[in-house]
Amino acid sequence: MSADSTTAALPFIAWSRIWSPVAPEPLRREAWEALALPGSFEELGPEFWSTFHVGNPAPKVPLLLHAALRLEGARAREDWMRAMSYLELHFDEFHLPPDQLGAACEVYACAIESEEPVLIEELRRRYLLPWCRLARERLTREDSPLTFLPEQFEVDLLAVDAGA
Amino acid sequence: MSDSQTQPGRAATRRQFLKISGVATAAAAAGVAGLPLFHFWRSAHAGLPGTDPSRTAAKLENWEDLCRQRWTWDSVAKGSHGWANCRSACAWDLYVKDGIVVREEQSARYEASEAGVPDFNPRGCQKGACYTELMYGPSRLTVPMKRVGERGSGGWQRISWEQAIEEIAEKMVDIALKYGTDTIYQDLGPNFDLGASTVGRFKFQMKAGGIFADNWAEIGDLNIGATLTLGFAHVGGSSDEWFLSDFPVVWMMNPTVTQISDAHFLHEARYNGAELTVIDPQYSATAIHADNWLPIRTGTDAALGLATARHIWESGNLDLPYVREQTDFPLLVRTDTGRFLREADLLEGGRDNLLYMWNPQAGRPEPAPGSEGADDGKLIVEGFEPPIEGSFEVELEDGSQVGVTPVGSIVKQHLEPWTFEAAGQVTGLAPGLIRKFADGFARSKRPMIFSSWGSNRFIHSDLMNRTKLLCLSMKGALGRKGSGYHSTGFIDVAGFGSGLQRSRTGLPGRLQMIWGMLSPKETFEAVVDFVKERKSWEQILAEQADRGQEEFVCATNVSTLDYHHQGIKEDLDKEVEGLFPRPLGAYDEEATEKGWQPALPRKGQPRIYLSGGANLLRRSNHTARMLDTMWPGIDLVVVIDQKQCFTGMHADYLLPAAGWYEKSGIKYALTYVPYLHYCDVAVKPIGESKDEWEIYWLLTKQIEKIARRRNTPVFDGCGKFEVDWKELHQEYSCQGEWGPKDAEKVTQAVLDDSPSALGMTVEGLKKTGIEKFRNTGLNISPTFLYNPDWKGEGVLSPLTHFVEYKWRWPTLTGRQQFYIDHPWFLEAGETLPTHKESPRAGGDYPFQLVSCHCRWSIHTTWRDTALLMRLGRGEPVLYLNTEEAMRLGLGDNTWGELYNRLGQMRMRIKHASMVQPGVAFYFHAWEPVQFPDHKSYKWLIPGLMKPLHMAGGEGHLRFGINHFEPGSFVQDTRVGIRPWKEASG
Repeated sequence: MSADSTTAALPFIAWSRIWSPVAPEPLRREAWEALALPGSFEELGPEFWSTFHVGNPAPKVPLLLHAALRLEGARAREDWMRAMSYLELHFDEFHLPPDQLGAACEVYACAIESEEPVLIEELRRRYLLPWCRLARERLTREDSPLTFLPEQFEVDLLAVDAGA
Repeated sequence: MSDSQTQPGRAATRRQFLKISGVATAAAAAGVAGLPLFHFWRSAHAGLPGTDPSRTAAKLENWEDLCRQRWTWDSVAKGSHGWANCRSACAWDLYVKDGIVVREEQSARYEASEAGVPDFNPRGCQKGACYTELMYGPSRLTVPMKRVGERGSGGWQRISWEQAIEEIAEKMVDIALKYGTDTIYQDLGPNFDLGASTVGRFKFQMKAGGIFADNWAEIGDLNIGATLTLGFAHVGGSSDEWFLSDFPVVWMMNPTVTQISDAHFLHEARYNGAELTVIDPQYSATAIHADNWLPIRTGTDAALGLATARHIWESGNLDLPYVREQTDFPLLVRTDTGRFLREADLLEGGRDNLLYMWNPQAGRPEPAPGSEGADDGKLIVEGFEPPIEGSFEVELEDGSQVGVTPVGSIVKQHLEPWTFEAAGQVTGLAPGLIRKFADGFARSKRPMIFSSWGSNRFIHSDLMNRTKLLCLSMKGALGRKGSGYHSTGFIDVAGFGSGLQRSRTGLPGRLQMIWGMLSPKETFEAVVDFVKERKSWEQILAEQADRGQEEFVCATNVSTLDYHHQGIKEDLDKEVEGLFPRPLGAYDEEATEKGWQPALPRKGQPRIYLSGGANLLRRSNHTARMLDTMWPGIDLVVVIDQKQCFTGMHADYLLPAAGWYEKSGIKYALTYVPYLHYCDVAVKPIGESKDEWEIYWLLTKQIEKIARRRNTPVFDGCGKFEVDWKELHQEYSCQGEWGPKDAEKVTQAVLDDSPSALGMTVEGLKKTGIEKFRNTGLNISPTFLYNPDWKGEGVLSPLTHFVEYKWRWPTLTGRQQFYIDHPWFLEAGETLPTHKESPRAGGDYPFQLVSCHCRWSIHTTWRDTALLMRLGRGEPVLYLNTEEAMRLGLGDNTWGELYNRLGQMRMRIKHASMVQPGVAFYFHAWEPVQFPDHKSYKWLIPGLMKPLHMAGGEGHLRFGINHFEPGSFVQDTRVGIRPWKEASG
């Protein structure tokens, strides 16, 4: 672990606050600015919540990785819980499904900080990048003003050096 | 990663993030602390600087090693699916790790009720085994949401709980001041439990003076036929009783699909020598296991029952002593009016509810013991044997003579035309098949009929069920172990009811409730009635419960509300035209004018809709009308649910409710498995969700605060009692003794006030998950069992209260009543159970649209769960007979367009040889969004109402929640079907 790895992990702390439903709004706004995301969250808020968080039978782009990627839920949750367990992470005040992207980003950040190349690469390959592609395609198809979110998230993911 | 690897324009902002992250970031840059985590905390030895360094040494070498790590759960909690509207109850072990339920496993802790009878194990189906897929699924609500834009537009904004509660409370006070509190509308279910969360939901409604809109009949689950015959709608013992029958008849039920945990008893009964018959138009999953399958024409079941009843009598298998004692067969009916002979006919000032039977020795009518106006509450006739056939003359009060005849004679004459051949003409069954069935039934020792909630969905279902009961009664099968009628009974967890009422905890709360119900004079009279055997203790309690509902509950029913406010009145009037002597509206007017049916809210339509365990818009018939007529008139729609649903899509606020493994609960107590099932708080609620006890605690607190600030007047509830919102929270929280996090205490109070759960504790149940009920409870609900002897041992068989102890049945006659002499029934030709054709609702189209509950969901719960959807085609399908579908050019898996007078919608076609020609069959209950254009089959269903179910003013014919009320009948719907072509769509 190094200061570099902590610094490299920080964007995913920010993304965690973007994607999490329970992150306090000031933290989300702060993360929005820090990630230099276009526009303001206030303007895009309703679109954001309706796109990613509320839907019947699912939001347009679910933030539960298993739901978006059509995987068995228990399997996805167990993968993330095993990563949590390996990194010795435990849910704090708010519990979320372990494959919820907000929680997952925090796990991913810890994997980077801990300099765990297998976790960095496999979580990215198995879950995070496929989600980005799916979300990007779906939002592009719908001409959503939020298409930039998975795009920028993907850029940050690809920028992580797994071997670091 | 370096900034140079990111987009050039974002390098500066990455540094900005470091700055914003403040202390944590600075510390991280110095390499002395970890990341500023929000969701997680990290163990002290997790490789962080300054902690045990050994952890950092071992890097994960490959992904598979992650799965090879020793990995186990932290704890095992006991749970069930408390709010699910499932007819079974099953004990589960929930394996928890890091606050997440990672595995569900059947608990299998049940015992055999008695020697020689199989046990209940293992219980639990594929739905329960994957509740975590729903709990951690994509429709789950995690934070409060407020609508942005038009209702239904799909725009939402997260808000805090504080904002949500403040805004909702303020609006509720505004609306109550304008329209009264009886404008607050909640339908009762169908999802609910008997624990703290439902206590909270219902207690709020009761204490706030809102209306309880019963939907038992509206969803087609209320067995009106049983109410008319027995005086209560729900009958049934434990499912191991099925094993004891020698002639089980599954007649409008599909337990292999809908009662997976119990179905084995039916199959095991065959190994015990039983002959299993299934009567079903479809070759159902239960029918494939049957010895005899009767593929009856849809909706003609009464005709089969009448032929069977005729054969029982004709073949000498009528149980005469039983029928004489337990049924209305010996009661005298006037031949001039068709009404029962009453004391008022014979004596000036005589009672209108004292009925008569013939004393052949004395040659005169004698008061029938047990009839509603009789002095004796028992059915014992002393000194003579009343005939069930014959004709006699009596002198009326004015000196005139009139002919009278026992009901038995009328029944016999009524059955006469129903030969096997006649029944075959109506039912489409071969007369020989009917004969075989009727003869088996007539000769059996312990016939048992399974007639599920789904048996109540034709406009003439009451006639069908009355006929089935007639067959059983003629065999003396009701109230005898191993035989009878299984339409679902409930154990009475009485503490749930008192939990809603109490305004104080402990003994003071109990005394307050008792004194609120009974004056000292009434208490004295009740004791005298009991001592003199005028009434059984059960009857006294039930009467008080009925009175409590009348005086302290603003009760109405959903179908009546819909009829008055959904914009469907004219449509329904037209649909029912010609089926009864008068228009539907005329019956409604008379029932309202005479106070037989509640007319709530008093000021027009509901203005506030709180959805708890319901999905009203999903299940509303003629949904388009609901959306464009009643819905816009509701000023505030709040959906409190664990998941987003179709109703939620059209709400103003979404409040996330805790899931079933996240709150303290008691699964509602069906008799099938006579164990109390406790639902422990296995894990913390996901996100910001809260259990309903807390949600309503917060809401009442805020309403009370606003009411005090605005000094709101005392409301008059629904005209029955005073409601002071300035004290609302005090009432709800029992004067502050129960806090927002006290759900387990509330659940404990439910147990403490329930004789059926004597001695059970939440702490104990956390360890065991289940405990066998001690007895059937106080029996004050409309669902009670009438078995005073069952004390937790042996197979639970209902109705012995009447048959063994000879107490009167809660009907006008005090007996199983097959003759209904209410003027409306007389004019409609429904005094006796008979066959009437299913009307062509929606228009004269060739297909009858019928449905069954689904194996893979409980209504819409689990209906969108991917894991279960994979077991079918993953989308709504309409089953059509293969040959018929081919003839219409409807290929398998192609789109069919369904249409009738109400509109059109689309479903995929599934070829199925199990379906009869002329039937369009579906397993309900898909969400509208799962259909093209978000239009489900509900768009085509008028939902007929039967005017006779609005009757009142006589004996057991009175409005009551879960007792007697008009419903909406879906199975009479007709549709046309054609291939759907995009151009025409």
